[in-house]
Amino acid sequence: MKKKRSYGSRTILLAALALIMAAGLQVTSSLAYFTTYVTARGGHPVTLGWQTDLTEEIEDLTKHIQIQNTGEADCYVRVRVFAGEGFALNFANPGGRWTEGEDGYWYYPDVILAPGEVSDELSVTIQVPEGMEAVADNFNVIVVQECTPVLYDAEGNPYADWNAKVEPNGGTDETGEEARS
Amino acid sequence: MNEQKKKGFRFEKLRGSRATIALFVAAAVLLLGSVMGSTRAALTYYSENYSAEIQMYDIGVTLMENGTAVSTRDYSGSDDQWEEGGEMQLLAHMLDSTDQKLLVGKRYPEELRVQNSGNIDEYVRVIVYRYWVDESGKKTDVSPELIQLDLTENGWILDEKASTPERMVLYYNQILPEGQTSEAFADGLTIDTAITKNVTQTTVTEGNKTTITTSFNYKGLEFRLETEVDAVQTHNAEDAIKSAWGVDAAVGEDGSLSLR
Repeated sequence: MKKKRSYGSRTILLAALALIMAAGLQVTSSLAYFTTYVTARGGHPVTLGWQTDLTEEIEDLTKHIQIQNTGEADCYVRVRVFAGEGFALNFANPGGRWTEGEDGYWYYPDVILAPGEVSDELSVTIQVPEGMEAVADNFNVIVVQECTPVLYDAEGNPYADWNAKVEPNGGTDETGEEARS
Repeated sequence: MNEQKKKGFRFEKLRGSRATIALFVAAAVLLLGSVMGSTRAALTYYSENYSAEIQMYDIGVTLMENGTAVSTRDYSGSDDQWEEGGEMQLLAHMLDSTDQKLLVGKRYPEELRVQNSGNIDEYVRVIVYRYWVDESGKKTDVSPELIQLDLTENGWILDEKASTPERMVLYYNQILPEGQTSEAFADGLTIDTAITKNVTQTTVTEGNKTTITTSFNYKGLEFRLETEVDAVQTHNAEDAIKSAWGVDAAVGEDGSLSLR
C-alpha cells in the first residue's frame, strides 16, 4: 500500500513538472508579440450658473429699471412691464441699448451681460387717464425680467434661446430666471 | 508459486515505473530540445544581424492632436527601455481662441490622429472615454453624450459591441506603415447646449418682489476626454491582435483589418 501511494505521488509530481514546462513554453511564445500604447486626457469646466437681480427706483410715476448679472456666467436679459387696462406706458431708453420686441418684451439683443455687469437703465412712466389723478399713488405697475444663458452655434456666434424648455425639479417648463415686482 | 507471483508483480511495477520515468525524461528532452532550438536560433540571429535587429523591432506609437504630438511611447531597441514623450494632455489649447472661456454649443476643432513613430508596421486601435466630473468626483447622472466628439469614421471602424455612451472603441482598418500618420478619427468637439437644462428652480418672495431662480444643478462641473491608443505588430496579426487586445479580427491579403 505504501508503495502504491509513493508511486501515485511520483506520477502526479512528474505530470505537474511536465505541465509547468509546457506552460513555460506557452508563456514565452505569448510574450513574443510587439505592442505599445499611449494615453492622454484633458478637460475644461463648464460655467453655467446664471442669475440676475432686478433693481428699481420709483420716482413719481416713473420706474427706473436696471438689471445686474449676479451669476457666474454670461446671460441675456429681457424685461416686460404690465399695467392696468386703459393705462398707457411710456418707455425711455436713454442709452439706446434696449430694443422693443414684437412680443411686448424689451431686449438687450446684442449685448451679453457679463457676471457683475449692470444693464443700462430702462425707464417706464405710467400715464394716468384724465379724472383719475386722485388715485395716482395706488397704481400697480408690474415689471417682469428674465434671463437666459448665452448659447453658441457651431461657428461660435452667440444667441439666446428664449423658447428653450427646461425641466426644473423634473417638472414645470420654464425659461431662464424671472423676477417680478 | 506465490513467491514467483510476488516477484512478477514487483518486476512489472518496477518496469512500469521505469517506463514512466523514461517517458517523462524523453518528453523533457524533447521540450528542452525545442527550447534550445529556439534559443540557438535567436542567438544566431542576434549575433549575425545584431544591428539589423535593432532597426526592425522598435514598435512605437504617437497620438496627434491638431497636428501636435501629445503622447509618444517608442521602444528604444533593447532592455525593455521605452522612450516616452509629450505632455499626455489633451485639449490644452482648446480655449485659446475663445479667451479661455468654454462656449457651450460652439464646435471646437479637435483633430485626432495616430502616428506610427516606431520602425515597424503596425495595427492600431483607439479607445476614447468621455465623462463628467465635479467637486465630488465622477458624475454618472450627466449624460456623456452631451460631450459630442465628432467621429469621422474615415478609415476607422467603430466597434459598436464594445462601445457605450461613455466609451468608444475604434479600429484603423488598414496597416499603419512605419512613419505614417493615420486618417483623423475625430475632428471636432462640442458641448451640447442641452447641458443648460440641468437646473433646479426656486421661488423667493420678499415684499412685493417675487424671484424665480433656475440654477444649474452641478457646481464646478467639468468634462473630461481621455484617449488610449494601442498598437500591435502586423506579423501573425490575427493571433497578435487576439492576444494583445482580446478581439477576433480578420486580416485580408492586402492587410485590411475587419472585426468578426
